[in-house]
Amino acid sequence: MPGVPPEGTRAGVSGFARPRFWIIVVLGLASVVVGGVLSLGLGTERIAPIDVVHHLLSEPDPSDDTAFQATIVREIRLPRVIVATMVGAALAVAGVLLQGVMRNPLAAPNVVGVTAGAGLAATIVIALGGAAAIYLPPAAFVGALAAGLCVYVLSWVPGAGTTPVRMVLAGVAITAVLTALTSTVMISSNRAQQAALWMAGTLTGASWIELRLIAPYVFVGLLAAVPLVRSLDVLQLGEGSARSLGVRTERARFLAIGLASLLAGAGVAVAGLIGFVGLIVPHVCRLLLGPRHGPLLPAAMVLGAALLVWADLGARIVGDRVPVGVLTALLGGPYFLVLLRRARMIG
Amino acid sequence: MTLACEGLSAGYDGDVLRGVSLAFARGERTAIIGANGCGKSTLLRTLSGQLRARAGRVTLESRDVRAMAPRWVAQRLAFLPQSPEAPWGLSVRELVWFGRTPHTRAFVRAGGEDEAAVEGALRASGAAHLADKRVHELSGGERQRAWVASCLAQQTGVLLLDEPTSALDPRHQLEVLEVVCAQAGAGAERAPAVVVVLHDLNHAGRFFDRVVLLGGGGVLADGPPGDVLTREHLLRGYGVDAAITEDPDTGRPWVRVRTPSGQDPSVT
Repeated sequence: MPGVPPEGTRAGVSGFARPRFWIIVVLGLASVVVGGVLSLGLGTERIAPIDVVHHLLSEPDPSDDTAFQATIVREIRLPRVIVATMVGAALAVAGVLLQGVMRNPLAAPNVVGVTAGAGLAATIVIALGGAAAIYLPPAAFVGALAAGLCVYVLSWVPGAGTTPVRMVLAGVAITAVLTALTSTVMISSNRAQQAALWMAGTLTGASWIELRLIAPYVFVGLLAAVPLVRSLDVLQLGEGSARSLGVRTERARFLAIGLASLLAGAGVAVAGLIGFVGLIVPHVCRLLLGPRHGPLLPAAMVLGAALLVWADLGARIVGDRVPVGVLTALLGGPYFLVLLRRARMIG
Repeated sequence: MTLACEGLSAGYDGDVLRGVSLAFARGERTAIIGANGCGKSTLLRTLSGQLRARAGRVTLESRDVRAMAPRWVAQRLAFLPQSPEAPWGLSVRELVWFGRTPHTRAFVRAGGEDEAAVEGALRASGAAHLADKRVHELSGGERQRAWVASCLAQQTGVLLLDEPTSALDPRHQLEVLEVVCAQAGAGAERAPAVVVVLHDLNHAGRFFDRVVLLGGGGVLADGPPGDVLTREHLLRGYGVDAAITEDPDTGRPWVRVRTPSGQDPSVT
């Protein structure tokens, strides 16, 4: 990008030293908070943002005549907003990890089979219907991890390990097979519409149960990504250079794929197939901040969360008829295209 | 000997190299030459630990590299692959800092020693004025200098470069070779062993103390340029008919080649 000032000379600080990084993080966090508060006020019972803040900050008073509003905000709407934040952060970081490790601009959770695995598992649960529904998030999570593992194992060649290209190709193949199976299940089920809604991605009905299910995996995944930053940076130079700089490339790849599956799996388990966040947010961050993962990871985390909170806010405004996955694409797509036109040199 | 291989067999599906033994000393400049597919890159990739030897072993400072941690190897051996790629948006200085990876640790601030190594490498490779540019904005020649700087910043006892001049114009070819060969001051104790894969026979003859001609899965000739760059060797190694004279400027061998049946237009 032209016009970017020279960075600090210390490898460890370049990126963080740039004002642009902090602007992105602060604006991102602010928009998470603002979007979250607005979102908490929307629904059948409309609550003014100032009252939302009041209900969040003060202990509920049962004698108060707005006590039911406090319950709505804290017990029903708050978990959904927190889930949106977590899912957005998890998917965006999963995308950063996958793009970094595959050195492929198209790499995203849906390319390495993770989302397709979740999709098949979820569709089966939905097709079974009835009491099976409570197992949807854990089933989707297991499906995601299993598919990620499959892709890794199938792209592995004894003696030579994996390569990014082989992994992407294996991911595409696995995705094709899983998607075909998913379609088969959907067609033969009378709950196809419900399954289709889940696949488009929705946060409707996200509660404390879902939140508790994914929170540990998201936190562990996000924290465990931090020590990978250095390896991911060096991997950008290609396999040959990375190895000759002493990086254990195969181990780094395995860890990154594993973490990305964990994060994306946790995300899609409760929110359905919101694939777009994992593709676009990392790219936006890369275009704005350059290729270093130190600044990339936190920036992607915050922007991913912000995008999903606002997309979910949009979904609430139109009354949940349009799934949040559709809105992330409608919000993120045009912005990404603008950035892409500005950075003509890329690719 | 800082870097050596014994009875090395290596390749991808079959052996491209069979039973190759070579040793490289500090301060020595070696050019590896040979026909396409003769195993030049395979040799470099195996020596640098990119590719596992199918038989035999590679030793670095008398230790089997396979038993050593990648980081240990990277502190002692730098390798520049053919046409390396930097990610979009990376600055030259950042690229050169990557050379310090084996000497620094995550979450620990790099020290003045590292900074000196980076700035020294930038100067030595004539890339200091490019330091704040983005790698993707540079010309091929400038980019190669940045990569060479990254290898120099690694401060290793061995420098392996795979065809560093292939995509460059004549002037940049000379500049890169001058930079690389200047690292190995003849006989200097602390200078690295420089091993470069080359296609240009005249560059091999002009800049290097030693030329290794590979062919037929092994070493066809190994020695000073004048001994290796002979009509007979080049016929065996490349299947070309060569006329070798002395470069009046440098006193080094000067090679003109033609196919055995063809005419060299430069021979008049």
